[in-house]
Amino acid sequence: MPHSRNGLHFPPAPRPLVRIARCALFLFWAAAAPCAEPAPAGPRDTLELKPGRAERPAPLPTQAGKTVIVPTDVDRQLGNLGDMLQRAAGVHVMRSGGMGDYLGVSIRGASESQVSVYVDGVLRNQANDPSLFLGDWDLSRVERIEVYKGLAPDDMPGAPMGGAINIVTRNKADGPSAHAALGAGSFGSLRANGAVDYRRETWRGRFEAARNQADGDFPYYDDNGTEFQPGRHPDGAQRLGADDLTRKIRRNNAHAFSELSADLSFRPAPALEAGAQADVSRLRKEVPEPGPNLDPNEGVGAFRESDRVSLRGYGRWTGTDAEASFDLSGSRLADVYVDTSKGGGGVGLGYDDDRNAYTDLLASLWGRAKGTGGLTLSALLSYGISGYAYTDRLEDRAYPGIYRYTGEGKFTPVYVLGRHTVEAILSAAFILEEHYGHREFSYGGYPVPAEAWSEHASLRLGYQYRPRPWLWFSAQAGNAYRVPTFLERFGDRGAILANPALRTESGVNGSLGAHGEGRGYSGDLQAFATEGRRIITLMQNSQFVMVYRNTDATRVLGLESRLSAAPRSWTRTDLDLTLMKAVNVSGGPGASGYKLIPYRPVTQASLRQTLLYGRWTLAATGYYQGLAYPNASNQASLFDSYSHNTEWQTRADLDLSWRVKHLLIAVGAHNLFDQRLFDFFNYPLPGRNFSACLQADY
Amino acid sequence: MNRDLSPNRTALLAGAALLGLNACMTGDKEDPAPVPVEKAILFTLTSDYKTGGYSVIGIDSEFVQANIDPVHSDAVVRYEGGDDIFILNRLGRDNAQIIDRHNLKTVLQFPFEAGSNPQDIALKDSLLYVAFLGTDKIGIFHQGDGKAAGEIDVSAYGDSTDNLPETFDLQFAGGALYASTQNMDTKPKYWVPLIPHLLKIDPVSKKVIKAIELPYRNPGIMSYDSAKGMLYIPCLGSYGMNDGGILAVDLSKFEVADTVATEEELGGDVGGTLFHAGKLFLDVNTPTADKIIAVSTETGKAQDIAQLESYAAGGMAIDAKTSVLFFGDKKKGAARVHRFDLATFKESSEVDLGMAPIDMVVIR
Repeated sequence: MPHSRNGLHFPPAPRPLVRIARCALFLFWAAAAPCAEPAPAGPRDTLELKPGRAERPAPLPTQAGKTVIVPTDVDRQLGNLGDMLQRAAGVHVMRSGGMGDYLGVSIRGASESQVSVYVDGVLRNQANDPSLFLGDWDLSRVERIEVYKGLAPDDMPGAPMGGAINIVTRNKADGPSAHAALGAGSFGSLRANGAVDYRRETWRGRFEAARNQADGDFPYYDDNGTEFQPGRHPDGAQRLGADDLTRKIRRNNAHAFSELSADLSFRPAPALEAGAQADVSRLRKEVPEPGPNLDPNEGVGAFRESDRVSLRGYGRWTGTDAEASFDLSGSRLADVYVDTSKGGGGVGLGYDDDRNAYTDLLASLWGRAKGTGGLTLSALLSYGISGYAYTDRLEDRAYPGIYRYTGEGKFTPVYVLGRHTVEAILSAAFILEEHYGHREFSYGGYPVPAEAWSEHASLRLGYQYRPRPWLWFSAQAGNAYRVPTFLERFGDRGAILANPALRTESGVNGSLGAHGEGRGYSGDLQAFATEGRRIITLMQNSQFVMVYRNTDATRVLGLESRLSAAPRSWTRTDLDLTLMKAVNVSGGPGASGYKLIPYRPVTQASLRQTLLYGRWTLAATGYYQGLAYPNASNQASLFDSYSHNTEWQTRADLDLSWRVKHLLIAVGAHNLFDQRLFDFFNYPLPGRNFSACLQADY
Repeated sequence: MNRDLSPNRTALLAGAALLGLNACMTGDKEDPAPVPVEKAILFTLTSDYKTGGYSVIGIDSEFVQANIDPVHSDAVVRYEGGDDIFILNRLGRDNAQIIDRHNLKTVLQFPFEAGSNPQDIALKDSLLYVAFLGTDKIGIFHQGDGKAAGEIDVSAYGDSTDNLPETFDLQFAGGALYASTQNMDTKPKYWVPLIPHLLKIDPVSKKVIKAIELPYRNPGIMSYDSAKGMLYIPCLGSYGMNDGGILAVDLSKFEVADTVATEEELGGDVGGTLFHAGKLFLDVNTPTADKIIAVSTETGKAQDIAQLESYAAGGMAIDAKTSVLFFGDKKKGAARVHRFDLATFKESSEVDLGMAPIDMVVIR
């Protein structure tokens, strides 16, 4: 198993001198080498890192667009997953609020459903929407986030069309240790988390607990239902500007999240390791009004409760020229949605009591062997079962369970000849989907077949040329596919109709890139192109009835770059830029949501500046989001059809921390200039807010 | 002089350049060249249910101006004569947007109660009467500035589960305002139509003076035959069940005079109606198709005009002067506005607006 898969590979306990030397090395990296490979116990104030300086040899050609995001300890206590991802070039985050709310990620213009989510290398969204696995992360548990653009690597199952996000949980390597943190912030926000690590000879254990809660009654800005200046203007009314909005308070938006996790591993010999992980969490999230212009005092009594259990066992053998691993994991998510209110007038909310249960099992076997003459071969075999069951508790009706069985094989030869590297990833999957209804299962007039088989294949090719140790060029291209999720194919038995005829999306994508690095500097430039066919889009049949359908083709062309600079020991700058353009490949005049990429900004940037002075660290982060493809007439609007902000917007965050001995004290001000932000349809994001934390390490 | 660009300065310059690049990348968003607006136009709303816009098509010429400005993806359009075209942005935006027919610009927009879900608008004496699904009132607003001018309480006609009468359609006739209530039980995920009413309202006293219970449920968009004083009400009943029909209400007696045709006879769910030359024009939805038909108000006999995919019908309008029927087809990849000559009973042309039409009115 490669080092990057789960971060659990650790060396024997270092002796004191070695530890001191490592600490010095960490400090050196943090100050002067922004492109360091993240170590399992990453330097506390290291920011986002990229493959580069310490990654020898260069990343495989198909991973040239990989981005590794390592939160600092301050980020872990004051930040959130959405902000972390939003910093990276080529990544756009869509969210309807904070923890427990919808969080979708688009990579290089892909739809959110085309991006697969992994946790410690284990595929989580086998047959379900990836947002189910992104919305409730407490960052204190996250070691780093790996973003693979355009593909999943050779050791992870799946061939996603839109890339992959691998969340690697924390797993310190340095002997016995403990940490505890306590934080508070605006809108009744409280966070507490702690972990203890135990290590002795061949055994190692870690136990972690986290609590994260907030009232969520944040202020936001609203147009009160209009987007033009009040009054009659015979020559045409002017649209409202940001200063014309009304400040309101979000209600019924509290969340409470608790999580326990344990990790135990055994290493009987230097080349062998086996371990087990367990994770239990519970989230209760109130669900606010769907529209910001609803009366804030409207009594909407909706909430969801989400209970999640994950278990995992793994084993790993690492030889001189070969390595192998197995992985067996299971997870269950029970999600209950209850609405006891009478709804907001004619909103149609209310009277819901649904229970959705998602069960996933996944087994995989992976091996890599280095042959002669620069050839390396790796292979992955995996088998997964994903189940979904739905119960309408209001009507006391349980619907037939739906299951998907996926067998996949992946074969990856890599050939290195001098400065040239060639890689291919060949993947094939066989999928059986079935339901266990007693009779023919039909919903919305569409009969669902009892079982359906499908086969899919994907081939990717990559090439890399490295003329200098600090400079390389790469190219990669291939095809990908995405099987419809359960929601897309079977509906939600409510507003979303089933569409068993829905077909698998397919697409091709490729990129050309260059990477260069020098002392204290690094830069990446990637040009990418994607084309998706039979894109699955949620379409509305009537005011309250929707259905997922295959629509037209989408083509996106783009450029992304990431520049990091740390020329002096006290400063560090990270700049991420993305430019995208959607091309009408379906013909016909005008623009439609099917042909373009609605709500993805055509330009996006983030700039993070960190200043270090003694034990003080000041980090300022700016986010810029340009115009999005908004509407039929492609005209920018502050409040578009569904109140989606298609105007450009910016946001700035500021964090200040002070580390003394075993203590870290941090304060943060986010959305510093109180920008009127909302990000996804009607859902507003918080105005200016403050937070503080105290962390003790041992 | 050797001036190094520090990383920070480079970042600032790059940021500034980004703003310019953004403009380049969105260069196709420039305002369309001004085009003189024709005297007779078909004003059309388009939507993909994520975004929406409005377009115009010349009735007496080849003039087309597509996607002029965005509107809510769930909207309806009404025209009551004069300069104002009324767009009701429904649930989620809950406002009225008034477009000037001469310059096609928004000249006034005013909000309704959030979540009120406006459905129809009627105009009399510079007052706008608005029907809502989400409140138990009919709102009255000044046409000039959108300010509230009172309300009509219709709460007595709501069911006891959500206490809402779901007022859907309005029609002025003979000085009285007629309003249909759908009266849905919104508690289940699929709304259940309960007993609907047709209300006769005195706009002066702002009171319901009489109400009749309709024999079929779930009334849709009505049409009025002023010559006979007859109001035609298509009642859809339950979706997918042929349990509705088209009612003829004699307004002079304020009673249901006849059933023009039942859904059983027409073979599907009936949509909103348009009245022209003794016929009702409507779409009939079946699981396999949407049929555009003409129904004689005298005999109830139906005549096929066109057949579209199921749920593909996207609004209808009639130009009485030229006797032309316009109807929208939302077919994916081939969304069009069709022009149908009622004199020859043949389709004469079609227009692609780049997005699916959902509602339309004739402005002449």
